Amino acid sequence: MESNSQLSLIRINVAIGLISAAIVAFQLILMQILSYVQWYHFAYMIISIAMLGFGAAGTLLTIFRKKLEQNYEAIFPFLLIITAILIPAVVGMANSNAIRFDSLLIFQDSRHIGRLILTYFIFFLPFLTGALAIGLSFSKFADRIGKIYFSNLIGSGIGGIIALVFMQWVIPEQQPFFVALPAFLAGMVAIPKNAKPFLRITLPFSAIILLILFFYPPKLIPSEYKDISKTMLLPESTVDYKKSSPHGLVEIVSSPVLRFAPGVSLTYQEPFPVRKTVFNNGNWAGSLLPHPLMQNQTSILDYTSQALPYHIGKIKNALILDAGTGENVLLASSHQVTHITANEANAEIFRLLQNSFEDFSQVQLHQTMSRTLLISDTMRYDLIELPVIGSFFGNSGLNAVEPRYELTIESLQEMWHKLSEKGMISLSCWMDYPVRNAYRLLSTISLLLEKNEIENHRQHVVGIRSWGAVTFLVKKSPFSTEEIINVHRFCENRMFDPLILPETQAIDRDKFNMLQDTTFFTNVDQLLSPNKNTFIRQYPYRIYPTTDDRPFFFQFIRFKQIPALISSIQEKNFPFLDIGYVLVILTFIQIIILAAIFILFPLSFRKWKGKNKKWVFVYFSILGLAYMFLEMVFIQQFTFYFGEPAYATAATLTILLFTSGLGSYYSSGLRNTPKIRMALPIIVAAILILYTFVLSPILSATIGAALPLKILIATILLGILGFFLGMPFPIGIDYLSEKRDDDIPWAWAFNGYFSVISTVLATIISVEAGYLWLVWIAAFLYASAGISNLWLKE
Amino acid sequence: MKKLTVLIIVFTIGFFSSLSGQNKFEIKRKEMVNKQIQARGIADKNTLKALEVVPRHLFVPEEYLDQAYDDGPLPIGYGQTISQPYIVAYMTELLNVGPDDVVLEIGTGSGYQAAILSRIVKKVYTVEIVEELGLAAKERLKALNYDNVEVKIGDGYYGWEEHAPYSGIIVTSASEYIPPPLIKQLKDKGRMIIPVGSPFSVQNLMLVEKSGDKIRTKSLIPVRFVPLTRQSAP
Repeated sequence: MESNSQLSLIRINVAIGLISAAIVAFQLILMQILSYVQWYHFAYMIISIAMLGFGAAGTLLTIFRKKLEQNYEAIFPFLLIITAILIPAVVGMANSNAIRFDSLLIFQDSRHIGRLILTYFIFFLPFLTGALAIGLSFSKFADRIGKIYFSNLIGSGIGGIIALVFMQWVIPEQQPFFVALPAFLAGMVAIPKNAKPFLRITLPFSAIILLILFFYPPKLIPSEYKDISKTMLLPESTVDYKKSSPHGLVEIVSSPVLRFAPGVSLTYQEPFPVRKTVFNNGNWAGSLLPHPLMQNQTSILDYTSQALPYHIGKIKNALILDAGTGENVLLASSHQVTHITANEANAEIFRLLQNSFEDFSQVQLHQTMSRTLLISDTMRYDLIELPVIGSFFGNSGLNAVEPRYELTIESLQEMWHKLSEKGMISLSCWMDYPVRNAYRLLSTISLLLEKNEIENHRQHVVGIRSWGAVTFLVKKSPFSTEEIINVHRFCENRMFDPLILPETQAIDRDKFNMLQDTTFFTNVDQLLSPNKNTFIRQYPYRIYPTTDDRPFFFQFIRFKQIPALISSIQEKNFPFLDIGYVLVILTFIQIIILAAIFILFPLSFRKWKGKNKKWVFVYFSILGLAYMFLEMVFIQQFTFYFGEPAYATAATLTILLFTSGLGSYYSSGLRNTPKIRMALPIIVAAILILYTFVLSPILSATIGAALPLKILIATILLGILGFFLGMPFPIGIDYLSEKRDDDIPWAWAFNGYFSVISTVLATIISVEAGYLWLVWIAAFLYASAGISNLWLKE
Repeated sequence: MKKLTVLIIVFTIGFFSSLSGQNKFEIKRKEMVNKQIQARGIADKNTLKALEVVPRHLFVPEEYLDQAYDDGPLPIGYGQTISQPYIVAYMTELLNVGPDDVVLEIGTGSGYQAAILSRIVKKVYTVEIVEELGLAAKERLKALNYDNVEVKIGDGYYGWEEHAPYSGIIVTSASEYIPPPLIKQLKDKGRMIIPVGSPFSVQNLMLVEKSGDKIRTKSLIPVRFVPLTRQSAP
């Protein structure tokens, strides 16, 4: 039989590598596509759908194992080719008018729930067929699992790189086609010489379908509630520029009625400037500055509360964080700041920023994340400014589970240490109701002052309020009388109101902009008083400072509120606060049910005989659960380290999967003894415990190092762990293949089920307890997996 | 003769069922006013009367007909919504206008807010930037005989200068800025209302008052949030 020949095994390994690459790449580009047509939180849905495909494949294997294995030579290539067709086809189907759903309408229109479920099912299909091809090979060649698992992990790692390449060079509509190519190649490689006629026909037939999908790619239509959709409804609006990158799809839109004047003072009497607008993944990212710039042009932002620092004293050096398209850089420049440093992580938006300021010798630009710049830069600044937090319209909290490292207490602490003697940090936010953004900012400021042993907080904080926004200034030294006079003057000229001043009791806090809910003022005072913790604890929303371990600035909902919020959704009178986190919880509930239906329920009809059922369940479930926990944690840690979210994600996945593949390969040469089976997961647990102590200090100490050195450090740190992470699964499967290979599909299914739920569960744990807890839990789980070997009855 | 008898029967059934449909919506409308509007403290008689007579179900897309009188906003396409009935009532009451007043609305949307105002004031001018929405609203308002409403397709930033000054301006499609031309077109002692918040959230409102050369804003809170505020108070 061909499958037994050496050549065949090589071909199978190549095919497994290719299909694994296609599946991981598809997962990543699908996350990107859904971030464009919907919002960021659907990334979690895609990961869980992919895992569901793997879990359900395990169940199918359990039920139809013999038949599938008997026809391996035909079924394996067929599944690969079907996967290749399904990858671009499902994207088209899900974006068709009949099926396309809108996340904002899910709670409004029950049809969209049905559409969401249908989308879920459609996306599940290529993952199912691809995973079935991989799982079938695992099962068929269980005695050589180490090498096949190696191909699977190496392929998966390469898939991350492929996805990045396609995201950079291919338009989103055609990315699914390109991702399908490795799957198609896998099918070609896997077709045996003496293949049955139907398989021979399948290949050209599917090639034609793929070509059709290439020439007629699916149209990706963003939600009608996304910023870009609304902008495109304006008269004569056109997309002037479009460029995809791993950071998202950047589009520049122009319209004669597209104006820029966010929160501008009512005293501003000039016509509001018409500006081209930049969108990233359909979300507003900034307005495009006119080019070439006039050196003495005054920014309209001078009429917003953000301009306050420039009006109370002389700023020589300014650090503008997350500069976007550069509006705050222009503001600084218009105030003759002699040295301006600014950063922007998104490569495409950074390019626009560079274009705008190429003639400005006083402006230094860095393409990196704010935290990386804060740690690596050695300058001292008179002003450090962040962009306005939140959105005028509110965004229904759809970004609730997006980590925001620039707003954590550690970040503010780093800013504090970069301030000159009289330097200050400027933080602004849109007013929301119930108030959350302003309170969380103030609680963070208060903690910052406490950490720096500032006794009288009021001497170091100034706050002002416009009709729509609040700006806080935190100064290293106390504000002088002259500066306070300047604050008053600025407020008077701009029709803003002082909110926090050393002599707050004597000031009129709502001369121009009144508040119906005046508790805002007393609450602000509370947050600067020694009793602040009582207030923070009692406030209905989470407003305590965020940390690097729990960096979710826009997640304000307390866990205990969630049942009440879900029931109020049913009453249709729910103020959609922090809907992103509610959706994560709903996804979790949904995924537990769906995974049970697709993975566990079919198994309940089948008798499972075995002596080691308890071990099979515990060991493989734990591996599924803990591996994904770690993926989530390390993606976050290294995003912070590299300062480039998209590349860091791909690099982390690639290193982790690649070294896991090496570990898997190495494990095939190990003697499969009880001691080894017990020791391997315990070694992983030990490394994890060690990492909880050494990882952060190593990363912090080397964050400013040259990129090649950082890559080397990441490869060593992730590689050591990945190498050992890659061993427990194949060694367990290898054990079963020797003793009782009927258990293998069960092991695969349990592993799949817990991998499915672990991604979303990891998000919930990181929001509720923090990333460090995830590592501790994963360490405990791996140790338990090792110890569970004591149950084995040889 | 047989055909005529059938026609008469069909017509009679149709007439009575449409009548019962009308009654159904009337009942729902009254319920809406009682339970959603009055119960939350809206007391202005003109506002309550207007909400009681304007058939909201004729301003929502057909697929949402059953939800027309529910306590929430509804999608009307083009990324827009018809506001929650309570918000419409709250904004109308806040505007504090009467039979002699002329009002400007920026963002016609479905035309419902304009229809409500038309039952209270002398004239409503409304500007919609999205052509499709504006034309549909214009047709709808005309068909329903709201003769004192005039719809213009155009850029709301400039208001509608020919008919200024206005006693009240409602900006239903909120933006990140308050256009200076709108403030100029506001009468002395006039009021401008702007809702703030994402389309499906319960929005809080911004009131802009003009007194001579002076302008003052006030951030208002829909009544629903009051208990929460009290709870949060120290």
